[in-house]
Amino acid sequence: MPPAARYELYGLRSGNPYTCRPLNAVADDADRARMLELAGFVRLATIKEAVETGVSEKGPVFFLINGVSKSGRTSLANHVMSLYRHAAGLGESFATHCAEPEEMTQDPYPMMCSTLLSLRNKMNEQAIAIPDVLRERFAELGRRTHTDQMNAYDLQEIAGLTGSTYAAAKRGFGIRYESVPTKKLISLATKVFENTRTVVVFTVDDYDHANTFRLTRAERERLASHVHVVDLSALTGEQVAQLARGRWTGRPPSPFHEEGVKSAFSGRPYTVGRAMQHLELLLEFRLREYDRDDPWPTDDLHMPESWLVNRMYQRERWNGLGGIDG
Amino acid sequence: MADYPARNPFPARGTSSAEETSLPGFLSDWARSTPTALLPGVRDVVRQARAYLAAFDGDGGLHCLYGAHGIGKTHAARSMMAVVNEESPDAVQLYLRFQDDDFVAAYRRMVSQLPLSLLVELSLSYLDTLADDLSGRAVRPAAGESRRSGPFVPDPVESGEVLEEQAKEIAAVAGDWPQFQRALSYLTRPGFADDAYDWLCGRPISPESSRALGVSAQIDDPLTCRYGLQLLTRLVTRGGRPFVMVLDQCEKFLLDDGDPVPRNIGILHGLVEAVPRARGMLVLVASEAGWECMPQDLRQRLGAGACHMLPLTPGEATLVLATYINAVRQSDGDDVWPFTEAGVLELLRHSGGNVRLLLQLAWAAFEAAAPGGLIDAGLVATASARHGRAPSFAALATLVERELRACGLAAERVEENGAVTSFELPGGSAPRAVIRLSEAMFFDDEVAIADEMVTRRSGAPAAFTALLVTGYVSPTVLTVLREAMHVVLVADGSPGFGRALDELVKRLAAIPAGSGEPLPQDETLRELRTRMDDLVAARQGEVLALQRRLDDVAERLDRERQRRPDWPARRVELVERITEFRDARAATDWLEFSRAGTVAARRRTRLLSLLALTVVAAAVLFAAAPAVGMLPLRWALIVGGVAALVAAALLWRSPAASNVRHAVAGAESRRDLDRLAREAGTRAGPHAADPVGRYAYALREDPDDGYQRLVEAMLAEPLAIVRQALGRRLAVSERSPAQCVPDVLRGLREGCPEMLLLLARRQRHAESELPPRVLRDLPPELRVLVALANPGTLGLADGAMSRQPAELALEALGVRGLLHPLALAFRGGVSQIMPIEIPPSALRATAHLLSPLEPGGFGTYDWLPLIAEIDELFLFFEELLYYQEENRINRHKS
Repeated sequence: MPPAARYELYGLRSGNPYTCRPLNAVADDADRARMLELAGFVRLATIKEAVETGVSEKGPVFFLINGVSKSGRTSLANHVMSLYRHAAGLGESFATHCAEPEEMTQDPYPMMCSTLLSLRNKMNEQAIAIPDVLRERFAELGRRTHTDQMNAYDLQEIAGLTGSTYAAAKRGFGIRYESVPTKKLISLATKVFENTRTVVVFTVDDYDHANTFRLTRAERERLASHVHVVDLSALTGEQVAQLARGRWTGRPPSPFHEEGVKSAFSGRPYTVGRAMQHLELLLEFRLREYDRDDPWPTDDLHMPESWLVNRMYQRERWNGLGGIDG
Repeated sequence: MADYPARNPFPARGTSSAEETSLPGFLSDWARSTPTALLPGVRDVVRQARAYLAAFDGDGGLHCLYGAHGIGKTHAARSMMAVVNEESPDAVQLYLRFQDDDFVAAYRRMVSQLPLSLLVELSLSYLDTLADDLSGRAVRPAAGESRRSGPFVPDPVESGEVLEEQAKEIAAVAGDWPQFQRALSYLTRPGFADDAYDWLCGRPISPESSRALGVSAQIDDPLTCRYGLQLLTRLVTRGGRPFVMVLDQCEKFLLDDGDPVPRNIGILHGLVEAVPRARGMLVLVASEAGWECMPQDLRQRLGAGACHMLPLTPGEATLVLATYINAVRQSDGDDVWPFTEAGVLELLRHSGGNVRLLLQLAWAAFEAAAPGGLIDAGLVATASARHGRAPSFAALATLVERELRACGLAAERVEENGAVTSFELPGGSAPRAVIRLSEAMFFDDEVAIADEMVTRRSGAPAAFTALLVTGYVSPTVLTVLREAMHVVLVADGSPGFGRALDELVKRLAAIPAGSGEPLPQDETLRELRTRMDDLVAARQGEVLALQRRLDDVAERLDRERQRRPDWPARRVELVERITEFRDARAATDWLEFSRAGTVAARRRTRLLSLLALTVVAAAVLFAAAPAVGMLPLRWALIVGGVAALVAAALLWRSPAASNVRHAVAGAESRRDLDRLAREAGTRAGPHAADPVGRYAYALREDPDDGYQRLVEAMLAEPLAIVRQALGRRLAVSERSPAQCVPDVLRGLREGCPEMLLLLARRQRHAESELPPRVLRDLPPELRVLVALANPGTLGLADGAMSRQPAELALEALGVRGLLHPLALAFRGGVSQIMPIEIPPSALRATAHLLSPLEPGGFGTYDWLPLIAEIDELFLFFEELLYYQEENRINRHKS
């Protein structure tokens, strides 16, 4: 194993800036700035506007983010929640409930119960006084068996009370459902949180198999009245070039040759996560091939077009992936 | 003569039980405890299964066994499963015996045979396969090998894409695919695995679970069950494991009280299409009735895969009996003793060629036999009277007469040789109907009997002719007879026969007296007659061929049994023989050595006595000298005494004497010899007459300065033990093996193989960089030694290819590349690659070259340091020969 890459030559103090991970704008303010629009990849302004409208109407904000793996669904969901927190003027007093893909089943009811009961626990944690009526309702909710389900409107009442309890304590909460397997969860959640001041973000796997779903056009139109649907597509070469420049944190300018990135990444579509992984490796390779000590900017640390195209080609060949999409 | 079976070798009930289980252990137990005669049906289905396993990546398999009850269908299917289990232990096999026409119940029983853990494993390996297919990686990393190594991590395929691909494939085999895909995906989630498993097995699950999983409450319709089985097939085969599904007693599924069930026929048809397409193997087992009710297109689909299991021929019956008897006999024998030939035919007559009945009757006959006694026709008949059902000839006549009377038909008895042979219903000019009775027909005479029947048929222009045969008629003749007669019935005592006889009599009663049915034209009969003649000829040829084939099978079975000391046992045997030969050679060498020592000692004794004599003579002369008065004479005596002393001294100093001077005959063992040699002191010398002296020389001479002297000594040395010692001394020389090559070749020329010790050494590292030409030019058999001595630098032994036996040994050692199939087999075990196409003669020649058992083989050079490796190589070639022989047998068998 060769020695660690010397990122400090690029003026990168915290290592490779293209390391791929879901951004969490709620937990880390710096991540908010890392969410990039990328020439139409996401329209942050529209999203911000939608969130602010919802907040001003003192109602719920629903987002449905549709995309394949590594397309940035979780990052965007967190970003939406952080926008909400900001617009509602809630600082640290913002609680989130996140339901991970492993918890999802085809049955939305237990999901919804868990969500509400988890919110109750968060209220306890944050020392928010729960009114007796709500406490009773929670107890009942926990007691009911599956055959003896509460009506959606009962749940709505609990959610509403929960929301107002939070609001009374000058606090708020947001909910994120990851990889929603069934539409039933969307309709139930929108019903339950209809009168609650909150933000609910669903992410959906944009694949065609039995544990996910695809919205038809009619459904999209019907949902459009209360749910903001965002589709995350693959990036174009142009967008990858912007990504490379936008996420550069080292000594300016970015060592990636702008046009080079464009042409190197135009061969096939890359999700944002994949593009990041490739950029990360390209930067690392460049550093490893460099054996002098002069810091960036120098010619040898620059990544010209021919180098980029060559490397990407080699990588594709190496992975034997060339023929899959073709 | 083989020994008498220690216990009754036959199963009392003659049935082959089959558990509904997928556990391989049951199958291997069954195969161990149940003898299987290689009847055509068994061979057929086993061959199909082997073809399926061999071409697993290609198509699936489809087979159908059908025939009467007790004809051995289940047994055939069972032994096929055992073969599959043995040849492909990871195959997933399901066996189901239909109990009624309820497919859902059958599905539930079948899928429940697979444990949850297996389904989970299958489901995961299916996803792995899909992911690999998607990423285009042909080879999966072996377990333990990290997927992440180096910067070039192959891009992992997103799980979403894999599931998408799985959805496509599942949708192709199962109509209700989302439910199935969900069930599969929840199988791998700990909290839901049990529910998903229960659902897949068709058990009811709770409403919560069904909602959570997104599946129905229970699989309860036949169509979903069919989808389930098709999915299961796909799941198993895509995970890289063969899948065999045996559906027994299909008639119970296809027929409801004798009426075909169209829905079930459709289901079966669907499976017949889908299972092979999903690369599984489907084996249907059905009775005649089940086969009959399958629609034409289904039967066509089965095509060549359909095997009609027929009643036994006499040869096959013999084979069955021999198989069972041999299973309990100590010694080998291919006969059916204690059954006599007549006894076998009698068994066949009473059983109607039905394996189950045959075994039951054989069991009964064996029980009835006196201890150690023969089982002949009489004994079988007696035993059958108690156990069997087929009526005897006389009983058949009585039975027919009674039936005719019961219908009010007046029949005329025709008797020949004191036995009733036919009944005639009188008509106008000729009898309007004739019922002929015939003894069971066998083999040689059955064609003659059939011929006679046809002849009579043309001679007696009866309107209607029926033939009743007691017990047994062989399947081929039966078809001919059916064309010649209106009705042919085999009286096997079954209810079916009773019904058929009833119908026949009713039909006779319905034939109006007088004209009756149109007479068959003489033309037609003549034509039939010619065909019969052809058949007689064909039949005779067939009989011979069949007899030969069965003899072949029996013989091969026998040979296989004789070989039964399988390879490990054979290996032990070989190793024992090698040790024995080696000990014998060591003993011979030692004997030779000690004898030479004795000779030298004897010569020493002679020399010493001669010296003593001379000295005594001199002393006598000196003593006598003063006594003699005459001065010249006194001087002469003194001179004579001096001369004698000088002679003695010269004798003592002579080279011949110096060689034997120190000879001692004291060495009792090798250890003793080593001690003596170390104490030998000045006696050591290359030409010492005393072998101990020469031996001591071998231990003492400097191998570098005295190299040439050692070589010369070795070439001149008559004793093997001393030569070996010299060789060992030479082997520590500084000279590299390559430099010694001329001496080695000279040694071989002059019959001194011990010189090979110079070659069988590791070449020094510096020289292995630049392989010395001289090693590569050596004859191939010597290069085998070079390769053995330098396992790390096989390039040293690399030389021109040859067609000599040693070439195979070089290949096995990896000189021709480590990936050479022989090299792989040598390192990884022969079973790794069975299909090596090497002529047995070549293998035998190589084994001979290396043999420790035959004079001149490398293995006989016991003193080589590489002898253990040579033995391994020899045993490897013996093993190859062994398996090749076995393969040949198996090929003929299947």
